[in-house]
Amino acid sequence: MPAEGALLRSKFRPLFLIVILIVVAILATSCGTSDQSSSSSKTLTLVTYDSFPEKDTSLNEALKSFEKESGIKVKIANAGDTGTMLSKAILTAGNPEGDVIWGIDNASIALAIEEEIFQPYKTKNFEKINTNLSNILKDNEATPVDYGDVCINYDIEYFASNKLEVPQSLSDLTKPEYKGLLAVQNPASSSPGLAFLMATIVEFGEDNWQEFWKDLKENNVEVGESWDDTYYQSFSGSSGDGQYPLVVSYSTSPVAEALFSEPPVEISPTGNIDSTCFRQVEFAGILKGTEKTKQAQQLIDFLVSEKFQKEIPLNLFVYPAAENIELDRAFTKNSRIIENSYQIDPKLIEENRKDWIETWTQIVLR
Amino acid sequence: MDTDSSAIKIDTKNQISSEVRFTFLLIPAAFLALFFTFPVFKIFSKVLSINGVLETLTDEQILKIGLFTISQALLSTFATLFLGVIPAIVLSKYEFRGRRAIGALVLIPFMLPTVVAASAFVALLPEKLHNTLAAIIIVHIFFNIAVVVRIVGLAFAQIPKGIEQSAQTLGASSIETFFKVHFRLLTSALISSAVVIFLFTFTSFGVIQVIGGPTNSTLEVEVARNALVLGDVSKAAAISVIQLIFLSAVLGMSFYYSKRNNVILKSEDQVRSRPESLREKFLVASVVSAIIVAISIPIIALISSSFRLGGDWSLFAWRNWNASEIRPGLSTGVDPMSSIVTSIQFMMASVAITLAIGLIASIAIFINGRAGKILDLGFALPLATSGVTLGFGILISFSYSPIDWRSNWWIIPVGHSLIAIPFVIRILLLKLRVRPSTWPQAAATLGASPIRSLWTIDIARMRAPLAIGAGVAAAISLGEFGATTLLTRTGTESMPIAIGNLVSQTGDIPRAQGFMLASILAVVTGIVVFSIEYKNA
Repeated sequence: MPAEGALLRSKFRPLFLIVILIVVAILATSCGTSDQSSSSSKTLTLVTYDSFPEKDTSLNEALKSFEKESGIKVKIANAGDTGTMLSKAILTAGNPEGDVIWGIDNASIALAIEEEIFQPYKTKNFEKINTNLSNILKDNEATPVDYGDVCINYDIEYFASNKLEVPQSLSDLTKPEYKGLLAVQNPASSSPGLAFLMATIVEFGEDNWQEFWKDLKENNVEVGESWDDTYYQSFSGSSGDGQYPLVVSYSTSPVAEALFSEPPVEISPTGNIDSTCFRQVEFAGILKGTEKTKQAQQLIDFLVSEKFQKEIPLNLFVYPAAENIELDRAFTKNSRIIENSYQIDPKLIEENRKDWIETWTQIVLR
Repeated sequence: MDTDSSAIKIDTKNQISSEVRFTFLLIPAAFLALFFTFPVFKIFSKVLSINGVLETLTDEQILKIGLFTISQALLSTFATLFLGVIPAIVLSKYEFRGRRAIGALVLIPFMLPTVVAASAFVALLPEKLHNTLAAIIIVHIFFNIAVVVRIVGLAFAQIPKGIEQSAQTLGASSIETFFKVHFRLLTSALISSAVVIFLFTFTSFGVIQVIGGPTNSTLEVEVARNALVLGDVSKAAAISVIQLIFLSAVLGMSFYYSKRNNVILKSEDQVRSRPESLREKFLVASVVSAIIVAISIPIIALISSSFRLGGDWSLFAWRNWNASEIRPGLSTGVDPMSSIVTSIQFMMASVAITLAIGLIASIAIFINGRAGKILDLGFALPLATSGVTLGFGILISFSYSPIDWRSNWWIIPVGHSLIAIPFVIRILLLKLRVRPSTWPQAAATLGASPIRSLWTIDIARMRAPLAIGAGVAAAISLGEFGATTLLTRTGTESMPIAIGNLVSQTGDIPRAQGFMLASILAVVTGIVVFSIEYKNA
């Protein structure tokens, strides 16, 4: 029977396929683990969010100079977006995934402290940090490393060609001439969305912000699920073909728009409305449970030193926490450091965040 | 025919010693227990409280979201089945030029990163459909149609040609033949694919977020919001455990039901025929063109986005395809080239693990009675588990020596395998179960030991289904979603992660590069799936 012949011939092939794949996998393992096996006292793991570059940037060059001077290697571990990173740090509190963590912001720093993920340390470079930032945490559980603002961005071209004045304040947004022009994010799933909600809470007060959002809803505010959605699908000023000339984004978004276009442009097609901004401060801290406290302290000192801080703006699109750092031209042309942005004490944020989001959801989505 | 299938079990049981049967069972069971049961149990026991679960169960909002989750999953499942059956049959019944290419094309949507493919869809769908249930269903069909085409197609290929003729000789019209003969023979495959699609759409996350907008939430989205945005892991776990219990019940029921309705055909794959009559030619032509149009339009939209830069056409992203540095001193921080290499490494490791464990597991299920069935059900559970639960479970479980594996790169392909193995088991079992029950006796007469006979008769015939399984496993690994995307990585950014990273930066260039990388992912998957299957299937 011909079938039998085929049967015998193909006898070893599935096994063969599996053996080859296993061999390849083992080979790959040995390559992959070679740079991970170095968990000696000379290597620190820096846990960061996903937009922190792993290699090839001036930020990584700066880290290399730290490695050279201190003899400590720094391994960057990408933990996902900020929220994911925080939840993981809380779950592994006491037995952390790394030695130092970068990028927990003021909206969740109180929760992180409450969950005891940090080992407090007052950096040697404390004096160099802008005092508005260094006085946020009284017990130095973590160190402020950078800050930025969440602001309403506007499509310059739209307002010019429609001869419409750019709104000047949050309360302007409910005026009829701005009906159907603004896109915001759901604060339950987006950190700029939450920041913008908090800006309105500071502006209108604990008892009146609900009224503002009712009016905003009447004025046809568009709500997106994430920053990506609103910025690229709804906003008319980005490369996408959205219809809304006002969007909640970052104060440095216009800078990135100018730099990351081809060819690069001097002036961004988008601008900021300075009076609508909420301050976001990011912190770095030593993770409790590390066995390399000394080295971790050295790294924290370096992260707020001038050498590292001056590389922050162009790589992370936020402002350095240290004072007197010179900014790139693209920043000075397209964005201003916002002086009077809205702020809330991290403890208050932690206590009220759930209620605020719940109330907001009731008003805007249902 | 039910008696026949039990006859197989009895005769295989008699031949193979219980030690051997136990060994086959032990290996996959240990794998599942270590990498699935242990982490899930660990995370639940760490963060779950009975009060939390009760509170969640009585939360009116969660109930509403639960109902929406179920209804969108049911609608998506039926719509996908309905639209997928005809292409499944046409692709397995007829031989025509380009058939394999079409088969590979169907798999591409299945592995595209949801965020990117979904944004391509948002651009295509009319404004009126944005944030609607209809849009969710359309996109779910796009992502999941491969499941029907694969599973039902494989089963259809085994229906003997003779049956059709007999039915028609007995006076049945071709429509009657389809419903009375084919449909009945395909029941098991239809249930299998329905269950898989139901699980996928029930636990759908990216699609709901991008397409559904903020007003259409599912339980999985709530889990992610609580765990990843609000920092409330215990509420997330409470929702997730309710979801897991519900879906396990659905799975259990489907296993029971499909066992009762399982008609096992003892025949080898049928030879495909060329479409001959005008009607057949028309059918093939229209199915093929429908597939090409439906699948390529979103993919073309995706690819063309990579050529757009600030409202103009541009080759910039492709000219700088392997550079993270765009201009001196300015970098996106994402290295597309190394993400491609990483993804391919993960894929190879995952295919190896999936095939090895999948093969042993399906033999174990085949030669064991009830224990085999439990194993089969167990391997389906990862599909019913929220990605956050499994991902965080792995994070806290493999954190102490000697199993401090959470930062080892290989834990990622292991995670991909957990999703791929149930598919491979389905595919392999289909082949194992069709073997005529007289073969082992013939082998024994010829002096073969039971193990030798198992090897020669059953395992050696697994080449084609293993190849198909390898293709599916490769696609699942390349498109990684769910649990493993939550694991912390060092220098092992895979393509889906890099894409997600690029498209969420501000500015034209990173965005275009993200779409470029997504286009490469689509093409790479197409090539990998096509070449694995072309060589072997």
